[in-house]
Amino acid sequence: MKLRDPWKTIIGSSWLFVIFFFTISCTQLNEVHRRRTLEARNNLKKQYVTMARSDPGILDSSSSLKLESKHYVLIFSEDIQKLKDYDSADERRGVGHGSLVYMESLYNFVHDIFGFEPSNQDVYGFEPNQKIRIVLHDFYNGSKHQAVTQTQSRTEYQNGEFIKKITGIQMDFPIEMYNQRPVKAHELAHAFTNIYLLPTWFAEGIAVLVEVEYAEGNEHGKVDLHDDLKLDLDGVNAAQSWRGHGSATLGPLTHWCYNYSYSIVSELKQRYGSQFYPNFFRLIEEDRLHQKLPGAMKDSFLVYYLSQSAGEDLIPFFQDLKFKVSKLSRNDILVMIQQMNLTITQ
Amino acid sequence: MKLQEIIQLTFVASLVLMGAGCKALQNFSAGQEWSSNYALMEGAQANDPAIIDGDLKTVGQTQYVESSMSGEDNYVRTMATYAAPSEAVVILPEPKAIHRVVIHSANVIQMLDIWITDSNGKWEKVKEVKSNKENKIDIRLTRTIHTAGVRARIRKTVDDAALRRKNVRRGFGFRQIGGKTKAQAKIAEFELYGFVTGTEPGAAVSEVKDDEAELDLLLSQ
Repeated sequence: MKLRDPWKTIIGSSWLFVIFFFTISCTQLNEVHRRRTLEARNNLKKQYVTMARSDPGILDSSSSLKLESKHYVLIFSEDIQKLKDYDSADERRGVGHGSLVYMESLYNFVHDIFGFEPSNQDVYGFEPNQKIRIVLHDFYNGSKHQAVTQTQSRTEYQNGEFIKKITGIQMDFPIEMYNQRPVKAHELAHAFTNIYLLPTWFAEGIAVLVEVEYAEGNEHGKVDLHDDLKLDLDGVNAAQSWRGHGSATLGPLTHWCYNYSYSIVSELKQRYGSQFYPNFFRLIEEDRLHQKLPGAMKDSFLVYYLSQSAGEDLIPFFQDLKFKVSKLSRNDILVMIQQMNLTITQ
Repeated sequence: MKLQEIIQLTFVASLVLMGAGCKALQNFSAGQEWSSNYALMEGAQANDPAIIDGDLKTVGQTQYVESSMSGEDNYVRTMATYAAPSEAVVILPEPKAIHRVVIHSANVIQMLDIWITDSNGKWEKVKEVKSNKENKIDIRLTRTIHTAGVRARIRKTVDDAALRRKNVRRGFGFRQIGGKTKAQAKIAEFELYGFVTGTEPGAAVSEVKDDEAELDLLLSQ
């Protein structure tokens, strides 16, 4: 009996050790498995732009010419109803439902990038029941290759200053463009940011950033900010005077303007991190700059807010790229806006 | 005595083997007992979320494979973009053993490949479908595939010919290509199934019930 007791203790302890190590190994194995699963998922997410399904809450008209979801109204224009795939209510319903599910997910996707959304009344002055209108065409403005997002606003004079109210956001797509994910992401980025009255080059740069770096489009690419710099006749960076793809001036340079603008915007994001642009928009929002501006934002105003978000003066960066900008203080900006609005009132 | 022991042992071994064999057969025949649709799991994502929303009325589209030749000659890049196939991709929140892929399409997908990904994100083609004529493609995989990512690469749809007629013009011995030559597939649902496991109580949906439910849905439209 005395001889067997130590053996019992040894065997018992061994079992306890075995169970203990087994438990530890299981936990470790589970942890390794969890990490590998996460890594695999991240690898996949890098290869593909995927989105979670959303709850669109779609309302449909009997003819399916107009469908509504949480954030959008989708409209089939007259010319598209003549096309084979859209000439019956059933076909439009199928495409419309699927399209709105996609667009609702894309809305959440772009919301995550910027940190604000059009349905936020504080940011936009966008009436609560208003939605983004998506109009699908066969041809838009005589073209199958031009999608346009427009923001309509109304200016009210309140307590001695002008205040803007957003009355509508409309995205017009030829169906050929609408079927391309990067194009939809590009236009939705405009729908989110148009309210801030950004200079054209910057607004397009931001939209191309979303299109290329988040929606993985390959229509545009980066250029070297110094080697590929182009100047206008005044010796100023040609991107600064760009008035968008519809402008007659700089026509041959349009593709360069997109690429160059995107390269600047991307360079700043790379330097100051993913929160750089959400912070930038938050700062503008705090000053309600967009509501007070009588027209498009001046580049010097833009650089002031970019500098605030970066935490350092970006005037030298832009002057080095031959932008004509001057250093302003917040007070300078507010005084200038007051003067501009005063001139308009007079 | 020894012989008796051997006989007894053989008998016991046979019983064990038969039991195991029956279980294996049962598992094999459990092909009739499908799991719930993994694509509807919370956290599942797709390159068009309309294909995994569980609603046959919402039709999503496959997305064109973007050309990776951004630095190449512009003409070559454009031609590659025009000829690019399109894909439907589903990513699950965690790997699952997949045995069956069901695709409901609005336009008939005539040719497609099914690919799965490993834990390093490498893709492997596991099935080819050629000359399909149905709107519902029901693909049984020949082996158990444990994966978190499945994609269908669309090779040919019933709409390709019309698109080519629109975008390719012939004349004077030249062929002028002005747009995509492969149509996107219009997919209502992309479903992924495995076999029912013990850890999935209530998840079992028999194939018959599954088909009946689909039929009900279609008839109610």
